[in-house]
Amino acid sequence: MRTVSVATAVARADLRQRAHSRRLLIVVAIVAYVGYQLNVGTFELLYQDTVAGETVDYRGEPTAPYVGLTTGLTGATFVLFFGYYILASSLRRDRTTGFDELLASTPVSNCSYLLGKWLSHVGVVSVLLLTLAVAALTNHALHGDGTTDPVWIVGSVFLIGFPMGCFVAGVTLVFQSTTRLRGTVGNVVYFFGAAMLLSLVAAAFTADDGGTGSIPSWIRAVDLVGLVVAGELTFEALLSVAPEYDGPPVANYGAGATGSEVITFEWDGSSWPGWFYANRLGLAVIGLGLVLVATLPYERYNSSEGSMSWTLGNRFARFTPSIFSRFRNPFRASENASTPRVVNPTDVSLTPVTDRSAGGFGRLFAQELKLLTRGYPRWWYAGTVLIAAVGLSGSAPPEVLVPIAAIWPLFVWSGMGYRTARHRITPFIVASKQPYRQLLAEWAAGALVAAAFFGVTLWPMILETGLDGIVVLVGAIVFVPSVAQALGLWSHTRRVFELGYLLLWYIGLVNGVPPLDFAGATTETVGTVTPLLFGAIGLVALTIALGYRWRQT
Amino acid sequence: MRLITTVSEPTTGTIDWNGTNVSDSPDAVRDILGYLPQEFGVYPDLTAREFLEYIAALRGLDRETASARTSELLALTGMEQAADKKLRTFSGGMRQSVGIAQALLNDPELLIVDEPTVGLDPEKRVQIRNVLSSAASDRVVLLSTHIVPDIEATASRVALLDGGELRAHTDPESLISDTDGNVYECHAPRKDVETLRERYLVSSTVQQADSVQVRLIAEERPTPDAECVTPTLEDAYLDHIGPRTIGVS
Repeated sequence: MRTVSVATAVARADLRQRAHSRRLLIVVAIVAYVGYQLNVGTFELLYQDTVAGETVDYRGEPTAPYVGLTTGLTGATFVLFFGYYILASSLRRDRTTGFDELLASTPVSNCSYLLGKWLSHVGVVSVLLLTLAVAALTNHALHGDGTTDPVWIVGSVFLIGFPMGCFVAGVTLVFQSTTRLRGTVGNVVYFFGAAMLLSLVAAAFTADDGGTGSIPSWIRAVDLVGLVVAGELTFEALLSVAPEYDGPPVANYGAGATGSEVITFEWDGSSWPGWFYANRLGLAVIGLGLVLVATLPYERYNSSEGSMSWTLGNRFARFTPSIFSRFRNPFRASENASTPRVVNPTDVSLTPVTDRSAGGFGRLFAQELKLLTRGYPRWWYAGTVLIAAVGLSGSAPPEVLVPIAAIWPLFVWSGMGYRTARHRITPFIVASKQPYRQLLAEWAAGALVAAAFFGVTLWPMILETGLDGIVVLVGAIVFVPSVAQALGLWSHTRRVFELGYLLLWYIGLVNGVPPLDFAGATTETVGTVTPLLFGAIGLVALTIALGYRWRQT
Repeated sequence: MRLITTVSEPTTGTIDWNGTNVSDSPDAVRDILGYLPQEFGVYPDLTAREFLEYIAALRGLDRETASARTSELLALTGMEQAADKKLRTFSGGMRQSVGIAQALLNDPELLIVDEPTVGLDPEKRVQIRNVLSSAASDRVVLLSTHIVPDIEATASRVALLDGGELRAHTDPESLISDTDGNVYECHAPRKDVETLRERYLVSSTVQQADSVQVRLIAEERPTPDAECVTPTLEDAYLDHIGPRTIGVS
């Protein structure tokens, strides 16, 4: 009983803290915008078939059940892909503000605390789903077919989306409780994990003829966002207007093929299959179970960032210093270095300063480069050397090597812009005579990293294509650090850039979509306007960053 | 302090430095400014020396001067041995020393330090106080603090702010002399101490075997045996802003 009451108190405090932040407001606004785009048909759920060589898109009429169904799917997909990045700040906040130290001195158990955070996460997801549901309700009332049925619309959104929220809330706790998964590594791992989970359902698209009945049970079990259930519910309605339909038995998101014929079918709702209730219940229970899992890696006594890290190696080093002396002991430097020595100021003669406008861009650049490239685990540097070796050998095809070289320095770029706020250096910079110089030095350091990584992978293409290849390289060098810096400055977090970059990287580079290929992974962008556009976006981002600094000063 | 250092912009009023409006020409101050904010950060992966060289570059110092002053200031603040250690390993006092060093890097004509000794051990506090006191010999040092001994040790002028309102701006001697004749010490039974607290501004108490020695501020002798004593700066401080803060009516 006490566990629940403590957890409720933790959740209430966390939700209040979030409610006072503008970030939640921005996220809610984005969710409302996504709902609007869905409702106006910018993207929608489509069955797709090829009839006499032409693509035909099938979509449902906007009845209340159909709107509820598609909004629910959208909500669940949004929560799956973006929920982690929205929710992850709660544990981090307690660490960075030092609240975790207060917490460690209270009788609150790890389980109660983490359960409270989970409840808070679920609360935030509920707010987002409610926003989507209200947007769908409003749209249906204005433009929909038939009676606006709030039970169908709101009910569908929460039936599909809420259990997903419980699951993502739990996963977030596990990641944020695990030292190795808290930062950029966790952001990347989560993104691929979500994409992998979603791709499990892709097998349904290749199911044999015979409609949804041919979908294996295991796919139903992993139907995280409700694609399979949507197919099962609406397939009969589709067949009523297209008896010869020969496409996949489940619909997918899309904007529809250009110039394709669009046929609509009407689905007025039917009862949800029993397996889907079990699926949702299972997802919610797993989410709750992950709270317990999170208590295992969660370090109650872990102090704030930047101080002692209680890794296994550190523990060994601390308790067995004579045996494991080669381990770095973070205590040692403080102990040795802090030997106090009161110096009489008159004993030290200071060199007079005759010039306070002597430049220093080169030194700033060197220090910014150190800041960007220092402090990573050894495997990262080893990987960097490997990429350089493979790239310089020219033996790997660009569609393989460029995506790897583009993702490897994500750590480096995502700290740009955000680092000064995170380490509270901003007052020093703003009060200096050249507040823009630091910004440009940081940008130049990020651009140098980009030039190195993209340069070693693109040089064969540059040799082959000449100026066009150079344009691709320069476009990438300008684009990535500029956007990273602008987003870091603006958002005061590295996650906005990381998430946006990962999406762009995954679609543009990994899947080889030329309009989004900012780094020349597909040779199709060479000689096109695409690299110029990315370069231009980079320049705009750099201007925004300078404008932000101007506002700071 | 954030307004003077141009970190924030004033919504009303103006700040002038040598006749130049700081808002209109922020470089007039930035050029000659040394600043230690109350809450400041450092880059944990840089060493103390690297961090100071970074700040020196921001402050526009040439390479040779930056290098020389970095070493000298590390010596001045007692940080020579830790100069090449990463800042993430530093204690609070060591970090504060680095803060003082960075504020003095460009030999500022105006040095602004906000609560520089809060939370430091006595030895470190003395050290920082000495550095500031020495620095104040040939420049303007604006020190904000709630620690009165720091002011006694360093300040030649004192501005008392209460809720953003300037209550006094004078030298410490004048501030103390304003309180002259208003500070008393008396011995009271323990049961009477609370009554004295309610009626007067008590600046300190010393527990004794059968009574309590009470030092208080009053316009008239509080008890027949009370003795008028020489006020300290702390008494003067309390006399000027204490009643509102402490809630004595």
